[in-house]
This record gives sequence, C-alpha cells and structure tokens, in this order.
Amino acid sequence: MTKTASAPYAHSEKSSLTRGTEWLVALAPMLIWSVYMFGARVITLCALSGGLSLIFDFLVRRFLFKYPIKSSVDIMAAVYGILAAFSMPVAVPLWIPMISAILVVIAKNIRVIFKKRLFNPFVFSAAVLNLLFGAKMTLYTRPFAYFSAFSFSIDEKLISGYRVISPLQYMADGSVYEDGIFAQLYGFASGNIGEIAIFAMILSLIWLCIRKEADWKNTVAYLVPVFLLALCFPSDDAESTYYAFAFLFSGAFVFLSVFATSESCTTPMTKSGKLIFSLLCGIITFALRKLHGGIEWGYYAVLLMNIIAPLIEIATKPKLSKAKKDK
Amino acid sequence: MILDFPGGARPEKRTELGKNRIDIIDSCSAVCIPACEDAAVQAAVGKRVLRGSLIGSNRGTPVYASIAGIFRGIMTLEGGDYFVVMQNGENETEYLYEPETRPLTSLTREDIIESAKRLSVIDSRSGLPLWELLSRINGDLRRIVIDCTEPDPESAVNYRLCIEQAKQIVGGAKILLHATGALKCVFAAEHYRTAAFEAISAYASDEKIFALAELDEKYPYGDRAIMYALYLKSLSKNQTALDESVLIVAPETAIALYKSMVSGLPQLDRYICVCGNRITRGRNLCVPKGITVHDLLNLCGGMKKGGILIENSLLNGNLASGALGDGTRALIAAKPAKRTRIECVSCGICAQACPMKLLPNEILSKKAESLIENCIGCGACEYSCPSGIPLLRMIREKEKLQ
Repeated sequence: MTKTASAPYAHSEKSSLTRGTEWLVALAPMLIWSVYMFGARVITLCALSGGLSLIFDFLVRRFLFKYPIKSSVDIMAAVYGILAAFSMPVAVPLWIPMISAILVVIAKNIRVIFKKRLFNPFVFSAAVLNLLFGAKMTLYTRPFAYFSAFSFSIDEKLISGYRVISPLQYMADGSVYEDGIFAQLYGFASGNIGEIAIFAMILSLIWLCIRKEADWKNTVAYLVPVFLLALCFPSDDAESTYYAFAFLFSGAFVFLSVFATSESCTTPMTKSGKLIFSLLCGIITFALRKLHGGIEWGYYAVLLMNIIAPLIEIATKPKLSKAKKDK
Repeated sequence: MILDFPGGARPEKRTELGKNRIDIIDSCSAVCIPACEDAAVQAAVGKRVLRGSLIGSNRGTPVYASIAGIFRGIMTLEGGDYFVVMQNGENETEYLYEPETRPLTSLTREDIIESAKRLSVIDSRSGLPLWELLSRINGDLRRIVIDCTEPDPESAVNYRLCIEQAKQIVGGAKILLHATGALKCVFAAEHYRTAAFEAISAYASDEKIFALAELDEKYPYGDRAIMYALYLKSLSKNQTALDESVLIVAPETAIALYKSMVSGLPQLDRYICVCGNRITRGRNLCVPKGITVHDLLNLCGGMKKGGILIENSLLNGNLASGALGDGTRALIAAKPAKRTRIECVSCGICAQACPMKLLPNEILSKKAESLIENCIGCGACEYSCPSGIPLLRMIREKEKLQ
C-alpha cells in the first residue's frame, strides 16, 4: 500500500479492481443471451474458464512473482477467462475451458518477461485451442438445443443430432449464409457462445464506452474497412450489401472489434496507434478469410497485430522537437 | 459548444461550495506577506501601522499592511520570509492615493501599469504582480482571457466571484483591454457554471469585445489547457500564453485592478476557498492579504483528524504552510490518497490523461529523457493510473538526479 506524501493527493476511483468489475458488467448481456440460447452449460464453461483463470493467475502472481496477496488478485484474469469461454462452442468437453484458463494465464503473465504483455490473453487462448483442437472447437449445435450443464463431455451422437453449420463455415466454400442478417444480429445463427449475438456485443460496447474503458472509434475502424472491402469483393452469387453485412456479422468479427481493440494492454497506448491497430486487424482478417477461409482468422490477425503494436506505438508517439522546446 | 483540451483528469465527484456566499473577514490575528530576497522595509519596525499603510517593497512592488497593527519587520517563519503585522487596536484604514478620476480612454498603457504597480495588484493565477505581466507585453495583445475556472473541482471561489462581483470583473477586463490593446476578452469557465455565465453576460453584453467560453470539466486548467481549448494552440513546457500574445488572468485580478483604481486603495484582500472533505466547515472567504493558514483554519472550524492542507489543487498543489501565498486561490483539506500498487500493465490510461501527449509510463524504463524534459508536472497521469504507480513522484525524482 502506498500512501501519497506528495502530489497528487487524490486518485481516480478507477483501479484494477473497478476496471475488472466494469468489464464483468460489460460481459453480462452476452452471458445472459447465450444462456438463453444454449442453456446452463454456458455458465459451467464460463465459470470454469473464468474461475480457474482467476485462481491460476493468483497462484502465479503470489508464488512465482511474490506479489503481496492484495496485489495478486486481478479480476481481469476472470474477464479474460470468460471471454476465452465465449470463443468456444457450447458442446466442447469441460477440459477445454480448463486448458483455456491455463493459456489465458500464460498470455496474461508472459509480459513480465517482455516488459509488456505480448498477446491478448483471450485471443491467444482461442487461437491456440483452435489450432490444437480444431475439430472440437468448430462443432456447432443448433440454438435452444440445451445440453447437460455438468456432463464432462457430450456424446458425439447427441451432438451430431443437433449439429449445424455456422455462417462462417457457410462462407468458407463461397456459399452465402441465407437465414438473414437479423438471425445473426440476434444470435439465432449458430457459432461460439459469446460471438453470435451482435446486439449484445453492441450493448457491451456502449457500457464500456460510457465507463471510458473502450473507444467506439476503434471498433468502427475495425469494422468499416471490412464492410467496404466485403462490399467491393462480394461472393459471386450474392447481393453485395447483404453479403457485406453477413460477412461482417459472421465469426468473431464483431466480438474482436469490441473486445480485442478495447483491451488496452496489448494495443498501442496512443489514440492514433489504436486506430491503426484496429484498421489493420480488420484488413488482415478480411484478407486471410478471403484467401484461406475455413477458420476464424481474426484471432491470428489480432495476435499478429499484438506483436506489431509496440512498433505502431513508437511510430505514432508525438514527436517533441528540441527547437520547439527551447523556443 | 463545450471546448476540450487533450488529457487532464476528470473529477468523479464534485463537493464544491458553489452555494456559499463569500464571507468578508477584515481582520485577523496577524498577517504575513511574503517577502522576496531583496525586499526592503519602508516603515518603522515596532510601530503601529494602519490598514493600507506602506510597509515595504518586493522587487519594486510596494507592500501595504492589510490590517492595522504593530509592524514587526521582515521575519523568517515556516515557509520563508514575511513582512509581519500583528493585529492591534481598531482596524483603521489609511488612504494614500486619490481615486482614479480620469476617463479610461485618456489613460495610456504606462498609466495603467503605473497604477497596478502603485496599488500592488497581484495576479492570483500566476502569483506575479500584474504590472510585471503587463510590462512583458510587446505591441498589442490578441486576446485577454479571464480564467474563471477553479484550481480544483472542490473549490468554488471564482464561481462565486463571477456571481457576486460580475460588474467589477467586467470593469477590470475593460481596463485590461484598454491597457493591452487586445481586441477581445474571453471569460472562460467550466461548462456547468451557467449562473456565472449569466452574471457575466449581464455586464459583458457587447459581443464585439466580450465572449464566453464553456470548458470541459477537466483539471488542471493551466495556460496550456486554456490555449488549446480556446485557440487550438499547443504550448511547450517553457512557453506561456503571453508568448502567443494572450494574457490570462484570474477574475480576482480584474476585480482588484478595478476596485483599486476606483477607490485609490491598494489591493489589501484576497479571495480564497477553504474546502475539502477534512475541513469542518468549508467557506468562500475574502480575507486580508497574508492571513496565516492558522487563522484561516480557525475561521473554518479547524481541520478534521488525519487531514493535510494543500494549496490550489489536489493534483499538483504543494502542502500549505505559514501564510496565504500570492498565487493561492484554494486551500483543500484532504486525507492523503491510499492506493494498492501493482505492476504497470501498459493500459495507456496515463497517456490519455497527459495534456502534453507524453507516455508517462516511460519513466519505468531507462529511456525517459524526453518525458522528463517535457513533463509539466500536472499530476493527471498519477491521478488516473489504475495500477497506483507514483508516476509524478518518479518523474520528479529522476528530474532531480539529472
């Protein structure tokens, strides 16, 4: 505990604790909606991933880095854990969120070695899980097909009975998702539990913007170029505006545009740097999706940009010339 | 339109004294008026002086007794050297000068500078004598800004001055406009101070020469913040508004200039807000120049346990000691903030708060030269840091080492 004996004699009420709480509140609309869509198993996945992330992170900070107990609890670990769970289909076995928690804690604390956090923890977790367990991570089921909340793994025969193809998987082979944009907006199109309901993510963004945790401009910088590019390069058999919206609302585009660009620790510190980061994330994701399709390339685009973020920060840092200073 | 500036700290709660009228206190146990190194005594030490009697000079600026009492000469007390007058007998006033009766249009800049010097008008925003500020002007100024913002969100003295003494503020502004040749005078205040804007606009109705500026509620409002908000001019660390041909003064300065010229009595009073959550009774006060901090606290019922007294702003103010300084507009009794410190997570909140657009967390790395050279010490970064890192203290420590 530091007691300020010199200016400033006051502190903002914003601390790591209040920030974590604000992010937890931001996740509530998505959590509630996905429980409505996929049942109580969503709570188990989020509790396992979020809870274990919090515990593992505490253990690492307390016993590896020797922080005092009060400084070892970081609610943001739980937030990252829940966001990582949001990037999973509902039918994944319960050991997947456990591994996700480990990945989140690794990505969150690896910054101690590099002095700056290298990868966005929840994106890192989603990317690695997709690489390692691609088959399980892309096994989507129909909304309102509620599975047992506590079954360690769901029988594959049961899953296959409810299996559907996500809009992103539709588009992978050049087809067009035809159930309409509103199905995507309200989350009736299947996909990962937290990435389907666009309207819930917009609510989260509004909350984060009100609490000064996010800047809507970054989300816009991520989405608008992608929308325009999708408009310019539509699929052969689709109406271009519909295609652009369907493309934008598929996969984790909106999810990443809200949460990956708002994660302040792995994006550049400067405002213009954040805009460039978001813009490039969107463009790279678009390019990778168009070139390779199949999986959600957004995670890898964000990780790539996380590596480049310090360079963007240096490039966008205001230059203070000596001449001006000495004037 | 609300005018904004880069960075700054936004207060989360406002417990100010906007509804409290300014109470006039014309006497106190003693006054200690700051004396500079080459200050000269010009009255008999140990003899009784009247309120308004000449007792010395500070670098050419005359010093007058602000209460009637026994003049003790220059004494070294806590916080520096002071001209000391101990209260004694009736608080009679001595009128040394005649009121200014010539029409304003017949006065030259030199006449007004001479009056401001003779009447010892001090700009409470900078703590400098007004005549010194006016003497620095080459040619005509572009603008005059009456900075009616508060030094701290808890303070409300400038707001009360705008409501209670709008006529005098506008009168002082007119004198300054004439003295500097500026074309326009802008009254700037926080956007939610609607009563202040209404009061000022009742007297400053000529839109050709007067304008009102509603500023975003962020602190601290220094020259840089105001210049950027009003004119989109970025000042470097060593620049002042005068370098850009703009004079920024406090409303108190305009009042003092107007009143002194009209009455012929030097500036003997100061306006101050004593506030904060550790003061027993927060008050807006008009007190004799040089009143001691002890007397001020007594007037407000004392300080609660665990409090410390800070000058002007909780963001970058100094601990108050001795007597009221020329540049002090608010005294804030507060409990020092406690914060659990964790590691820097490079969240960038300090960078967003920095009005100089620096990256304050660079102080944690070895390459911090540019940061130290350009930091203006406003404290917004440390105030905002969610990790509780003492950024300003670290910057000041490294600055001392250099």
